[in-house]
Amino acid sequence: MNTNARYAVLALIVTGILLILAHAVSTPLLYSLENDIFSTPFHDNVEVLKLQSLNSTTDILPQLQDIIDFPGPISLNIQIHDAADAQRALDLFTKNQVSLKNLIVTLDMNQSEIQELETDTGQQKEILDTLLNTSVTLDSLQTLEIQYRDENNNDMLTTVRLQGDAVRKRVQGLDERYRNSTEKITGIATKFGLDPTKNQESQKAVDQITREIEQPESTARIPVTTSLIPGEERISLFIRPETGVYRDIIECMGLSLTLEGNTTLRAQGQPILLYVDDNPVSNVTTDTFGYYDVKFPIGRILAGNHTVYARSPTSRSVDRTLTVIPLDSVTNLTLSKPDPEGNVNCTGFVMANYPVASASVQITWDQSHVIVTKTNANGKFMQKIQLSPGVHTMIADFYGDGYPLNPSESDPVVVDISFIRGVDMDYGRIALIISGIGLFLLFLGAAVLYLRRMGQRKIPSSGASRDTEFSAETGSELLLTGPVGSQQNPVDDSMKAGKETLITYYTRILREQGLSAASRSVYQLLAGRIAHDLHIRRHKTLTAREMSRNCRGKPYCGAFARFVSVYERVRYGGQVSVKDQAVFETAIDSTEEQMGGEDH
Amino acid sequence: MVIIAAAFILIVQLSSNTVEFSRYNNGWNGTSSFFSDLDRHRTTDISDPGTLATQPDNTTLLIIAPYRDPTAKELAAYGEFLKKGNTIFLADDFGTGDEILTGIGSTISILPGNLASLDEQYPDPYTIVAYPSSEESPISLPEDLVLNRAAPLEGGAPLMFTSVMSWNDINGDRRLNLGEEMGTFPVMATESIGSGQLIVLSDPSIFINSMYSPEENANNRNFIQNLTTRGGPVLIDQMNSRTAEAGGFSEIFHLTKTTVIVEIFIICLLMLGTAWAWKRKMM
Repeated sequence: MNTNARYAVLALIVTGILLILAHAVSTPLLYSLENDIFSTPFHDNVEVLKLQSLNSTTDILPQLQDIIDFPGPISLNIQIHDAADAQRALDLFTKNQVSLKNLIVTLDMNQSEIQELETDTGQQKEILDTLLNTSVTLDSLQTLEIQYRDENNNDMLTTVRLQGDAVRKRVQGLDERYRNSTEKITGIATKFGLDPTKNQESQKAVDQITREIEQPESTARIPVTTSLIPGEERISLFIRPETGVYRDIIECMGLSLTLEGNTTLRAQGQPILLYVDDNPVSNVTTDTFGYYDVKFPIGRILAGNHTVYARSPTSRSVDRTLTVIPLDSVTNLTLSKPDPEGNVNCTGFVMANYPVASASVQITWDQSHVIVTKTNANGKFMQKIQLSPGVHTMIADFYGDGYPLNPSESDPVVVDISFIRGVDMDYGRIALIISGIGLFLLFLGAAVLYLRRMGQRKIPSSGASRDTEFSAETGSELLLTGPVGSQQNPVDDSMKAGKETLITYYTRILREQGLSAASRSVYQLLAGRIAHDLHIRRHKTLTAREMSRNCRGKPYCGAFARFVSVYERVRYGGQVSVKDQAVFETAIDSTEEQMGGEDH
Repeated sequence: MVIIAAAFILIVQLSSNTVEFSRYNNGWNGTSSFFSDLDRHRTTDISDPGTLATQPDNTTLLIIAPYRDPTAKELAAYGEFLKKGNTIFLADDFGTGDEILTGIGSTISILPGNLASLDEQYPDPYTIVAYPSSEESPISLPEDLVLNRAAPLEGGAPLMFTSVMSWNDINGDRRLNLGEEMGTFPVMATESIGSGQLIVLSDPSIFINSMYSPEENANNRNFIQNLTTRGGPVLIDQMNSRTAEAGGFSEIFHLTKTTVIVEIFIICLLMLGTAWAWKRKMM
């Protein structure tokens, strides 16, 4: 391989390495923690989790939904005087609220809406707490009142009634405060795409509880027994259909009866609470015929069988089974055109016959970065993501957690973010790129300079030294400089390619400069050819004898060795006889013949 | 120089891997940081169960994330090692740790499930925080430990518990559902077997780089360092542990580095190559 080709290959390799390094700069570190996959069956990548915390608002949406849902079942339990269940739910509500408060502090979230939501749900919790305590106290006082009335203890009876009046005063205005909180929560929840239905339902329950407390004569309250036996005949339940899919409407209906002596009457105005898997989902009051009817949609509930039953303060219906069948979902992802900052709007929807509301959608790009967002009430989501320059592949996933829906994944969408950004540029990266280009240019310059210097050394100058310069590679024209004495009378001592044979070239130099110069010219010519043939580098630094020793494995090497032997005698032996000259010329012929003449 | 630099980058690239818990994996899920911090003078890799019998007293054996069914010979060696008065620290959640525990006659068992908690270190309920119990511990325990997808334990004397706001996330939805009770769950337990001590931690992830190195998990690091510097030699099980897994090119590099005959062969090849290049005047 000639020198130019070798340097071209070297330049190619260097360019390749620099390109690889440049690529590594844009997506750095082969094993960077944050660029690795999100999780494995063994553990989650905490570096990715740390990055996810920046997406704080959407991260805590599920917790916010839980918080605003809590008052629903609590108020229903207070309404039916189930103090134990109400207290349990209230404790869980308190824990979740503390957790949310800590999360807001940890994430340094200063969004006023979220803080307001936390404050308003806190107020609802306090009101529910007060209502529960009041309700329990009044139940106790009522029991005492019955006892003292039976004993005809009028003094204690009066005391108990006065205590009851004092307790009832505590709830004055609570329904109004609760209504204000509910309205604020509804507004904020709607803004974040959360479902405020359960919270709004709690408002109705609180209204009724405060009314019952303030006007005890209008309603007969009976403390609930906490260990009701399923299947008592006093409350019936039918559900239709018994099988459904997401967003199907399930209708529940039945009759409530009450015992009065030996007769069974239809219970008019009886509060009925409907449960699915022990979680209250709706409340209703029986009509004048003791009949109740309630409908609810299949929403966030897992696929499979679920137990449904109804409760009145004193009875519990038989358990019915609702079977929820999983449904296939479809997730779509569309990307906007990137802006100069590399921001891309990811929009899409999750559908399963109907839009899937409040669903968590995971947007993944380059199989390494993950961000989670939520769908709104119309099943649509939107998330703005800033991407680094380069080509990115994005996918949206809906895992169906908590829904009776099969997971779905969008088609991959490819987005190309240009290296050239807006005014607010990353100067560090630009400096790095410029440094890389500078380094490359420096290397290229040095390589060009070196090649040029090498090239200049091949061209004989007018003031060339005694040392000869020889190029065997070209083969088209062989250049030789003459001895010192010829500087003043320069002669053409180069061999004319195609015009001269070796012997005519020798004859010409012999005639013009003498035997010594002619022998050296012929030696240099032959040495050049051999060096080219055997890939001997820097052959001009070798003596004729060293050159002869390096010539191995070729048929002409023996003839060349004999030539060198005669050449040394002719060149350095002092007086040269005619016989020696004849021997030398014979050696030239022999060597050239072995080397195959000019075709070699 | 360019070729040498390229070769260096290539070697660095190929000598690592992405295998779970691998000591040659310097990514987030590898254990390279833990292994690089070990005291070379006191730590020995155990690849043959026979070597356990030759260890001095007061030795600690770490079995991290076992993944293959142990052989009868290995189980017998573990049992004998314990009975001699040594300590075994087993860290496992979903591997074959339970088989080892049964095989050595322990009453501790690792239950299936992912523990989740509202008391979380990162924004994920699986990154739970565990606290020491009032039980007397044979090892120094930190104020808290951050775990990553731990499993619940049963049996033995509990040394560390999750907080009360934790649950066993059976359906894997990271939320508290019906049938998933909130409460404390033991994640580290101990038991005396013979005159030795068995300690079980239900999460080997505390050894991975992303749980071991970050500043916020200093307690994890301190706990592990206390464990490996508590006096007496430290042995690292490489028979059953995932940490020994190399995979791909790194396995070849590892083999070259640790097998003398292969190393000599490679050196000879390099010398021959150099001589050839010199002969052909390429250098």
